[in-house]
Amino acid sequence: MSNPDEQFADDVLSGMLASIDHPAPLLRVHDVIVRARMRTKRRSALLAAAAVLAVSGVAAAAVPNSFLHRYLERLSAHRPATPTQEGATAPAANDAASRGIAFAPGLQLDVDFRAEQVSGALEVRWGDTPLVHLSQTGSIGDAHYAVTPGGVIVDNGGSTASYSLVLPRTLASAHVRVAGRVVLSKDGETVSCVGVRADSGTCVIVIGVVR
Amino acid sequence: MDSRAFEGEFRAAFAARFPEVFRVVDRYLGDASLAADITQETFVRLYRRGAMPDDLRAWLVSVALNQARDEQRRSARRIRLLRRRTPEEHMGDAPPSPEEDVLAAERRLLVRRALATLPPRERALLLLREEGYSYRELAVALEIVESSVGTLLARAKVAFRRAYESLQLIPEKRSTDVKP
Repeated sequence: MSNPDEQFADDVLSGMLASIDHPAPLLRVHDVIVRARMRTKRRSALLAAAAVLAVSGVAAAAVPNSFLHRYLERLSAHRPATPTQEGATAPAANDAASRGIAFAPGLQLDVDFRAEQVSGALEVRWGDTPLVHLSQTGSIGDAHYAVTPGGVIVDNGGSTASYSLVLPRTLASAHVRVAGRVVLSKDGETVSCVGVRADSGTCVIVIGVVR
Repeated sequence: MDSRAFEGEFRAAFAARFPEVFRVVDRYLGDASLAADITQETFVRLYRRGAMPDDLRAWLVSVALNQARDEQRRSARRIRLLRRRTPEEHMGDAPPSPEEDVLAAERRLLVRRALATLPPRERALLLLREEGYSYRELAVALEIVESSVGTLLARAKVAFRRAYESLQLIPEKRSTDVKP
C-alpha cells in the first residue's frame, strides 16, 4: 500500500483539480433532444434510401436489356465458362448444341477463333437479344472458350466442329476473326461478311477452308 | 418503458449529471470546447438509447471517457502529422492574461501537465473519485475489478504527486520569462 505522505491530502487535491475547471457550457436539454431526434430521422432516411436502392436494383436487374441485367448476365457468363469449356472437350456426341457460352458484350465485341479448322462452319445471326450466344453445333470438337473484357477467344485448334454465333442486333461494333483474319465486321450500320449472306442477315462462314 | 416517462427521466438525468460529466471530461482532456461536445454527444447517445441504463453515472462517464480517449488518439495523430506542440498547447489552455496571477496560472499549468502524464485509467480514477464515485461505480465505469480499485487509486494519487513535483523542478521556458 502506498504511503499516504506520498499523496496530496484530499482537500489539496480537490483544490488543485478545481483550479483547472472551466465553466460548464449553457446547454438546454431541449437542444440535445432535438439533436438526438434529428440523427434518428437521418438514420431512418438513410435506411429508407438504402431499401429503395436495393428494390430498384432488383427491379432493374429483372428488366431485360438493362445495364444491370446485362452486367449480371455477363458475370454469370464468366462463372460457368470453365465448366462449359470442359464440356466442349467432353465426348458427348448428342449434346453438341449445349456446348458454348453466352455473355453480355461491351460496346465493342471481338470474337476470335484462334485457328483455321480442317472442316466446319460458323453461322452468324443477328438477334433481339442483349447477349452474345456462341455454341457448337456440329461434330465433336475440343474448342475452349475464354471470355475476355472485349469478347471471347475460341481456342479451336484441332476442332472439326461448326458453330452458331448470335449477336445482339443493337451491337455498335463487332469483329469476328478466324486465325487473325476478319471474316465478319459490323461498324455502325455497315456489316460485311466473307461468307454466304442470307436475306435475313445471317452469314455462314466456312472456317475450314478460309484461305 | 413509456417514451414520455423516459423523456422525463432523461431531462432529470441531464439536469443532474451534465455538469459533472462535463467537469470530468474537461479535467481529463483540458479542453473545454471538446469536453462540451463530448458531453453533449454522450447525452445524445443516452437519449437515442431509449432507456435508462442500470447504473446511469457509470454509463455516462464510461461513454464520455471512451470518446475522450478516442479523441486524444485522433488528436495525437493529427499533432504528429502537423507539427510538434507542447501538451499545454494541445490541451487548449488560454494564454494567461497580463492581469492574471502568474503563480496561479503556473500552478494550473502544472496540474494539467501532471494529469496528462498519468495513464488514461489512472487519470480517470483520480478524477472520478474526486467526483465522489464509489469503488463499485469506478469498477463499472472503468471495467476494472472492484477489489483492485483502492490499490490503483492510491497508485494514481502517488503518480500524480510525483509528476507534479518533478514538473515543478523543471524550469519553464515561457514567453513570460523573457528578460528585458
